[in-house]
Amino acid sequence: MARILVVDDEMDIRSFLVDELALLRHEVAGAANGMEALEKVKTWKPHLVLLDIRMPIMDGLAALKNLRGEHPEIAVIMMTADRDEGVAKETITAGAFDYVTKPVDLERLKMLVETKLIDVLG
Amino acid sequence: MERKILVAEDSPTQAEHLRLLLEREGYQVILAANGKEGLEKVHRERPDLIISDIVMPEMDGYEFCRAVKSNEATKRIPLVLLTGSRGPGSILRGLQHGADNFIRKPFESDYLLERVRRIFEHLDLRERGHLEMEVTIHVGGKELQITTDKQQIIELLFSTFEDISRLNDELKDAQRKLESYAKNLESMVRDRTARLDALVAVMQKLGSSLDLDEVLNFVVHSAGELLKITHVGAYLLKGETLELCAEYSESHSRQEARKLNVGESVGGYVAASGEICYVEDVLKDPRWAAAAWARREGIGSFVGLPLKYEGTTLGVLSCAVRGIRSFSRDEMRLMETFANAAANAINNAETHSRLEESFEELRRQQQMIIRAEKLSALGTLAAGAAHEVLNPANIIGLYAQRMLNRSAGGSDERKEAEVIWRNVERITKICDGLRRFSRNEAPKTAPFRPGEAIEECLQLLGHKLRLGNIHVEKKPGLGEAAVQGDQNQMVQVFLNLITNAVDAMPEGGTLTIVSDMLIEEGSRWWEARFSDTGRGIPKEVLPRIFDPFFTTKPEDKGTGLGLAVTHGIVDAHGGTIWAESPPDQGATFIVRLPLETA
Repeated sequence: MARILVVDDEMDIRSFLVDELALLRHEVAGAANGMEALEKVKTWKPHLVLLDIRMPIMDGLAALKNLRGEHPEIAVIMMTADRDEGVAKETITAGAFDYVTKPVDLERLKMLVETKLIDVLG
Repeated sequence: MERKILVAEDSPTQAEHLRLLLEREGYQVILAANGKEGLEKVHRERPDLIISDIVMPEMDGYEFCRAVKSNEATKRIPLVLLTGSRGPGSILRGLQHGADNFIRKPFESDYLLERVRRIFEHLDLRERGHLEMEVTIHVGGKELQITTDKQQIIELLFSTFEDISRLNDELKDAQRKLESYAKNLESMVRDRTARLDALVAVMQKLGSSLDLDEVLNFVVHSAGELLKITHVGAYLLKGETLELCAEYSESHSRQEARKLNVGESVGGYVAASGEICYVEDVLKDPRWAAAAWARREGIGSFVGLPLKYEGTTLGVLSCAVRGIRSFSRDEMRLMETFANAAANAINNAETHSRLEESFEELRRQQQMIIRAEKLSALGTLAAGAAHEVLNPANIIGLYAQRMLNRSAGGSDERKEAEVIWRNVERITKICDGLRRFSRNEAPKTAPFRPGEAIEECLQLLGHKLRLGNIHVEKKPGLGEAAVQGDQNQMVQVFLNLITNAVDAMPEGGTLTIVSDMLIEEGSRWWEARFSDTGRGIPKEVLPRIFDPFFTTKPEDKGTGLGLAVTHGIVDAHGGTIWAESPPDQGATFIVRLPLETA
């Protein structure tokens, strides 16, 4: 049983992913932007964060940098609608090793989440 | 018996002239250089007649006359005074001094001889009755005393009568000359007026028409008709060659030399020297090249005039006439005026075409700017719209997936979910294209070999090419040339062009890729031509193919952005891309990129 935090400003996406991952018998919570996510991480200590890049208030890249500094033990999967390799490079430089592009291929995402959790939980 | 005549004349040439004249008639002539010498010779030689000039040194004609007439031994010798003045003064003064005959200078030889003959005929008459008398006459308010005899008066009357009739003849002659001159003048004025009219017409033509052919034709016709020149040709200098651009021919036959090299024949000589050249007889001029033509047309004289504008020779006006003819200064000046008019016309036309070219260039640039601005504004708008569309599309996509997962294989729900999913993917693809198209950032530049990029694309698309039955031909290989640019972006360009070519040949075909290096407008370029053997691009479609959202592909295949993006990328690389599609052939896309300067 792992804790997964889904961070996306689009409520429909957030609730969809929360539902889907809950089906995999994980404990799942949502956050609407980077700032909210960092607050939640402090108290709730998730094992994995699904992080959208474009968001208001604090975007995914800023949140990622903070997580890498404060909580290096938490696994992060970036979600992006940009298929630009520049964004991918920046993401990787900031410390995320995985990212999925939107529209999210659900099967691929589920597989990636499971693999990551095995890495984190051992 | 030989008559002896003494001639007193100080001018040796006139004296000699009189001597020859009189000797030829059989008279014996004695010359004296002045009155004094004349008087000595009169006493020594006793001449039968004395002819004396008036103005002489030492002793003038009047003194000489008085001396002869006041001596009893010589007073009977008739004496003719040669007077130079028209008025009666010199005659009256001669009478006072005893002269009995006058001849006005200048005189006709025949007139002088006739007078001399008559004096001798009347000599007998003279010998009779010498009634001397004193006469007082009033002339010009002066009173003159003349001692004279009948004979002298008769001689005087004769002289005067003859003189008057001679003057009358002269007057008539002068009048005739005047009349013919007036007639001449009239025709001269007519000529002048015609020339002036022609010049005015040429100038008007020059001012009103920028059509070089029209003006040159007008000039050669005016010159030919007005100056009665058999063949007039206007040659234009193009590089090292003179080309005949307008001709006039009296006989409606064609000028033989349509083209001349500078330096060739007389026309070429004029172009080379920049000087007017008159040839009296072309057949005698070794430079003349068209001898057969000249013989056939009877051409004799020729004038070649350079068409010069501000010191630069632009061409040659050639004027060839039948037979030998010289040209008056007026005619030459007129020809020069025509030549100037032609040179002006050429210069005007050149300036005009240069202006039109730069105007065209400006318009092209303006269109490019408008296009770029339109695209840029459109791009910004499109990128914003794309991003806004992408998120909801994602959401729809996610739920479609959920429906896919939950529905049984083969069920209606499953099929419907698949349609939704497929169309979400299509929306995503369009949005991606829009965002790529709007990215105006400069390409990340590094040297790369476009030839290699094409090879990479061909490998990537290998499966598609084989499947589509497309044969790829590379001529002459893709080369090692390197350009500055963003290799990834250029790969996108080539992928797009190759994919388009494949789509253009649904039945299969050949894709020929020719790459080359070339120099144009002083820059070195790498160029690749992608030619397919498809149906080609219709002429009316060709100008629009690079416009965003323009597509001829089926709805689900093309976004209408591929070539717009491609155009944008090549543009950002400082290159150019365009398409050619000759009728009944496939299309060719040409990409040019600037080569790195070594």
